[in-house]
Amino acid sequence: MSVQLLEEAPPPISSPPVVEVNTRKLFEVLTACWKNDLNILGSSNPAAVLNNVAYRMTIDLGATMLPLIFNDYAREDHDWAPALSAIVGSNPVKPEHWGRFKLVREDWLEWGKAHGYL
Amino acid sequence: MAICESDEADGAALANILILLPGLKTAAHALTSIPTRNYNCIAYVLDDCECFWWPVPISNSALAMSYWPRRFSREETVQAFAEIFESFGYRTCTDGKLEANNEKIALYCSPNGTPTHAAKQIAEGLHPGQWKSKIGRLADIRHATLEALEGDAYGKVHSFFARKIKS
Repeated sequence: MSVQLLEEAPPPISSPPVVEVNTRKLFEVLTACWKNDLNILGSSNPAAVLNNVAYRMTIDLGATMLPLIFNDYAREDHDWAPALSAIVGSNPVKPEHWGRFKLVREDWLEWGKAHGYL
Repeated sequence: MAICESDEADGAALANILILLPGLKTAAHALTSIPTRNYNCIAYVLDDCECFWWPVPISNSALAMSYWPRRFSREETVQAFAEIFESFGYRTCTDGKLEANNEKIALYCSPNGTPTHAAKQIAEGLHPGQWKSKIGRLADIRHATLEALEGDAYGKVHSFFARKIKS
């Protein structure tokens, strides 16, 4: 007795498969990666955060991240200013506040409120 | 007596620094402040504890995170840092030896010559000749030698600057 194997061709794909990602969970995972990065914490260069892959990924995810970023920034001071500036494409921080992280944060939170993110 | 809220917190603060700067284990060292994001090493050697000094280029999205005097070049070069130190009365010198009536800064650079860190010599008091550093967004430390901070994170000491101690 012989067995004939029929090879079935997979159905044509009309659109790429949709993978649902919990945006909040993804944000939390990415954020935990860079917040504990000693290369950032130990660096005197404020731009060091931009070298972190998880931080760059957060920026690449774009405006969908803004509500989560502002929510996190409002809770505690962290290096969100470079990401916000990269995503939004502007810098609302007053020049006299540059380098003063608390004031940088205040300026960004004010901007976030004015634009409906907080 | 603990620097942070407890001895455990002191240990945790120092542990992070020792992971980053393993050479520190070979020299006498001590935690001298709580971790703070309010200032960095350049601010610290210039006696400013309110600001992050770094010449982040104008086009960089991290620009707002850095203070750098307007009339100075925002370039990550030894020359740019030297100009800042000179504006505070420092002049280039040959070494980090303790000298009466002088205070000194050591500038560290990565292998490609980019500045990474600055430390200030303790000129008087209990630990003359030792050095003090602010470690990025972490804490201040005292370290017996400059070599203790050399390694992957900060590279090596590149230049020295000295000025007369103001009486």
